[in-house]
Amino acid sequence: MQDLEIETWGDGSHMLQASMLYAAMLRCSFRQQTAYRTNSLLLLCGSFVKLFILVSVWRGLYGDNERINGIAYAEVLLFVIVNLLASTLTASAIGGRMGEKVSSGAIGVDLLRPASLKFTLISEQLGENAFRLFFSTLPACLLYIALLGWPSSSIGVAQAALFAVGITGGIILIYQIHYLLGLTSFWTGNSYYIDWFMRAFIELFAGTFVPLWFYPQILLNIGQYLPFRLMTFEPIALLVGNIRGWEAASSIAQQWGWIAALWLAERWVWRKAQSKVFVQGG
Amino acid sequence: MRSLPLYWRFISISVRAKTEYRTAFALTFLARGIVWSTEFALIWVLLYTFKSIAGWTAYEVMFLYALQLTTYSLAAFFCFHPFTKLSYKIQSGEFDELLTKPMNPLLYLMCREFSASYAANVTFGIAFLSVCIYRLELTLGVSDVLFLLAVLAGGALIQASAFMYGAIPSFWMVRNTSIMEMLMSDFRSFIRYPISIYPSSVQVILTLLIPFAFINFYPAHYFLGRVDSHLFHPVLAYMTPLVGVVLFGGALLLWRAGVRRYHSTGS
Repeated sequence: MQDLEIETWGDGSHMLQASMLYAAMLRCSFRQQTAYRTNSLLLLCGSFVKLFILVSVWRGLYGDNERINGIAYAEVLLFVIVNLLASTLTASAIGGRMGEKVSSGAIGVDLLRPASLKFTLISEQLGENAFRLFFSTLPACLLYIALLGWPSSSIGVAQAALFAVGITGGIILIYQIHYLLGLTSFWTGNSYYIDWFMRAFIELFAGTFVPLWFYPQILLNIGQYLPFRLMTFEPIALLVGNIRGWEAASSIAQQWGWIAALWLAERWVWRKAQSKVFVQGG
Repeated sequence: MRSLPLYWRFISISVRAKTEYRTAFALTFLARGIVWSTEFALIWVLLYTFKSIAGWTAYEVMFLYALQLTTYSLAAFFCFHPFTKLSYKIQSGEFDELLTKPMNPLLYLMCREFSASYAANVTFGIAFLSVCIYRLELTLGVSDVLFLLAVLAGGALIQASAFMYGAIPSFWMVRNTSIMEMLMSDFRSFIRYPISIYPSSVQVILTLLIPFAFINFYPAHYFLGRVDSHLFHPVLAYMTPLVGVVLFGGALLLWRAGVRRYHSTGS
């Protein structure tokens, strides 16, 4: 690397260099994926099948109704497609990778590198995800839309802009959660069951499979106090215009509140984790 | 059949190896249980507002899920490791070792690589089945219970055949992990829901070409007393065990042809 002091975020030029470094990591992991070209074709078929099943399910659930709970069928379709794209971009194996690094001791070397472990892991993951997005999920969605039509839902410029802000925050929030969970492997070793447990928990409260519009009240009440609904559900609700005005502002404010809170939690856990490494001797 | 006790030894060793670390085993068991329970509960959430899909209520769809999970796990006990690693074994030449053993290579492979951790899935699958039977207030007589066991066995054979048809082509095409993945994970997700929600072409495929619908959809008609799918003959509700046996027989023939075709890579 050109400069060993990349991690000191003091002045502007260092910051620029750091972001160039992470962008390079992202490109590398993106390019690595091109080695698995047949795989991406199969992933494309897989995404297409997934989309086909979900659309059939919602068609079956709606039956002859146009609107249920005030939500139009077209809006649910939009939810399904955007959610599939977003979930490709935010899939994460960061927890498992951290666990491997900790239990094999490779984490010692990573801590010596002049680049932050967090951004290295995230850049690599984003590179992989971007590849899947562009070569599997997005083509599958386009193919689906070309064959079976676009959900006829009108979206204003303001809604699209709110969505752009919301989904950016949502993606940052998801990575923040994944990284924080990954850090717990300093205490638990390579315990994938924490990953599993959390994935189930998130799935239940995030509204990524069943949109929260159709949830029983009791689960909504619990979910209100958790950050997971802010990951992709509320940004999509912004897109279809289900959350407007002050509520939209509040949704985005809550997102950033959670990001800040989780970031503080991460700093604290990270400090504890570092001392943990020294005790283990790397 | 002289080596039968030996096969049993392989299985019991695998069980003991897994249960040796009690806490790890318990935590894995629990984690899997939580994952399956969440999936199970999400079906209930999905149908909370809508009440039914294509005429199937929440617990009826959950019954489909439970049948699918149980039969998959029964098959995965014996098939998951042997067949997901088969293409690697063929590529690396590790498969040679199997042929040097004075035993049936397929039985040897299935028993030596038996994975005890699927006990969690089977336990939860059966628990889910019981929950559905209870909530749907189904009264099962002796013959019904016997038929349920036959359906589970037949379904497990269909699932096992899917593992095998997915992996055995590796004998001819050396790089082939993805066909497997496609067949197992993507196609299997079709039968999470009653197949009557799909266009009839897909229903035909799931009945005749890749007959996953016999794992849960058709036999569920018998247990739930449904007569709703007009597309096919009602006799299909009884066919699961037969379909399982026929498919598995075909898979065995394919396996034999594959082994005969096998030339070691010599590495």
